[in-house]
Amino acid sequence: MQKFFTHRTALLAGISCLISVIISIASYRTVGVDYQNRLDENAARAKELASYFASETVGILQYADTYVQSARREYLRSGLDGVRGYMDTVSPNRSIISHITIIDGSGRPVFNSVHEIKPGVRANDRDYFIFHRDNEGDVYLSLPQVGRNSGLLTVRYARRITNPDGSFGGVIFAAMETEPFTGFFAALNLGPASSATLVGNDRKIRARSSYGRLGPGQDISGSRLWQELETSPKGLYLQTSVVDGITRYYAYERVEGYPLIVAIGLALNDLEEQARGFRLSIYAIAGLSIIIVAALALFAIRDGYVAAALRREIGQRRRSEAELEAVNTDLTQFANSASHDLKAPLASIAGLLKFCVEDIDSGETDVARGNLVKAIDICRRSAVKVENVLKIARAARDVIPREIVNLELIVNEVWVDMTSGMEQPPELVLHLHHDEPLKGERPTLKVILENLISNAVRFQDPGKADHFVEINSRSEENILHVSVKDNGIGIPDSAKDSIFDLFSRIDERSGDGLGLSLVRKHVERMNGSINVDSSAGRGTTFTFSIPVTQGAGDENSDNRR
Amino acid sequence: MKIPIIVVDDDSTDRYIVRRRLSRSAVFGEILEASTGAEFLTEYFDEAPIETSADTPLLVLMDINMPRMNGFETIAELDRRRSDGKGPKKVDVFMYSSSESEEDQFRADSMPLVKGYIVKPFDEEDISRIEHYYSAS
Repeated sequence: MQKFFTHRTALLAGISCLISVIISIASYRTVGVDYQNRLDENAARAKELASYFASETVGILQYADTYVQSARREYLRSGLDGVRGYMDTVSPNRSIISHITIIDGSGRPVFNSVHEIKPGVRANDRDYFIFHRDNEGDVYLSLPQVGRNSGLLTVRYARRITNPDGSFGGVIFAAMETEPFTGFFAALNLGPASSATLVGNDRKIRARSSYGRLGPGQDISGSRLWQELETSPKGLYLQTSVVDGITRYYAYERVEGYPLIVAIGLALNDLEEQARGFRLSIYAIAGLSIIIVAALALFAIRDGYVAAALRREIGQRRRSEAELEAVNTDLTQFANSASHDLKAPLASIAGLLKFCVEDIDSGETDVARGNLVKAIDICRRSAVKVENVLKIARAARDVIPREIVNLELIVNEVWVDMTSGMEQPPELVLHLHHDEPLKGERPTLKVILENLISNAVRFQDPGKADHFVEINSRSEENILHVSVKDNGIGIPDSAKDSIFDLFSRIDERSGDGLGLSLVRKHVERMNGSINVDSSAGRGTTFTFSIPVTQGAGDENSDNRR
Repeated sequence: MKIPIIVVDDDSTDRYIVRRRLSRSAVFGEILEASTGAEFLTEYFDEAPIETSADTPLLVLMDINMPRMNGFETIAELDRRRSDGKGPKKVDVFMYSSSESEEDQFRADSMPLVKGYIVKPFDEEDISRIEHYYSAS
């Protein structure tokens, strides 16, 4: 039992392993392909992000530019009041512009839309001031600085103030936090090795999603970006950093109309991290599902096994119940008969012995003697009857070896025994057409034929002139059919149902009524069947059929005779 | 008035036992015998059915276990013939059997003709019982 369970389990475990290996390979492959796809995707993505970055930057700067130019116009027209008036009318979008500042030609701040101007502060050294003082170029996005007041990194979108006479009149700028420029990238959560960078034509960083080793304002002249820019204002390249060893996709784009370039760097490690994470989750899922499948399978096997065992047991129980029922029927029949047929002689004996006591007391010894003899005879007959009943009981269990039998010989033996004392025995007719050699249970066949032939001989019809007993035999496949036919008085229909029952007697000639019971028990033990064809006055034919095996040589028998 | 008896039993020893026991009793008259149910019916309930005087019952001791027609079957057939008007008005049957099984006793109870159940062997006590039955009625 244990073995069966283990083999099945082992088989299923093996299958599960195979499945898990297949799933792993498949998932790895998938992830591999996926990884490559993702790389390709991410190259495209980097380019998209760069475009997006560029257009976002343009949007922000255009807004700032429009506002600054309008403010400048008002300033040039109406001075500080003009600016103030303008700003009151048109409030700047605070998510883009923190405040507006005006620095005069000498570097002194003259206006600040949100903060108090601190006396003595000069902006002469600022990059935006220097740029506009020294350059005719009109637009400048300053390097990021930590705002004095806000504490946040701020860039200044500065425009030149040119006096009506053409001299340098200072700078007007919109202070903008750098965060809005790169905020979109931070939201992507791509990991610290990836970045979005806004860099000026001067090769200095204006804004970055994360600063890391490269700080704000850092000069990145050494970057491959500048080489790439020479070939195209917009592009993509793969680069492994010598500094941190990380390979990145770089997508860049010149910001149209501004002295700025956007660059998106997507680190492959980040992608790998994601891929690894993805792979791990695939493995986890695969592993879990295999465990679940295996567990389910084991349960299924167990259940299947249990179900099979249950079915077997139910089958066995049913068979046992059927056997029990058969035994019970036999027992009931026996009990019913025994209370008559086995008990009755004892009652007769008791009655006779009581008389004997009375007779001895009264001196009637001859009568007593006679009754004692009778009692002894009844004892003897009863013992024979009991023995015959036991034979029937044993008949169900007999193990009799099969041997080559000569049916004709057996019939003749029985016939001689049966008819030797008769003055006018019936005629014996034989039509034996069965296949030879015949292998069967010799003693059993003899007992069956004895009983059937004895009945045939006994129940003669006195009304008929000639009496015969005919025995036929034939073989059909592996079944032997034998019939014993007589032209005696026959069996009335009312009695036919019970002739095979224990102690069933037709009349005085029936003897104990055990013969046919014994015959049936033997026939059934040999997996055969017996039936009767008869009616009153027509004679009787008993036919029994038993499976036999053809062939020479003995099975089971020990060659002692 | 002496009561006639018919003993129906296929066993000669059992008939002998009954005969000998009954002969000691003064209550009973003629003791007749039949060895099969068929014989009993043919002899006494057929062409020349037995007749008794109006008040005198006929006592039948009926064995159960007989070949061909058992005791109960014989009584059933007897009943049929009596409804045809054959035989005496009063018939009392006592079952006479070695069996003490409940089925047999129950079956005997269900037959109105059966007035008692005697377990073999027939002895003095059984005679007293029958005598009491008749003295009581």
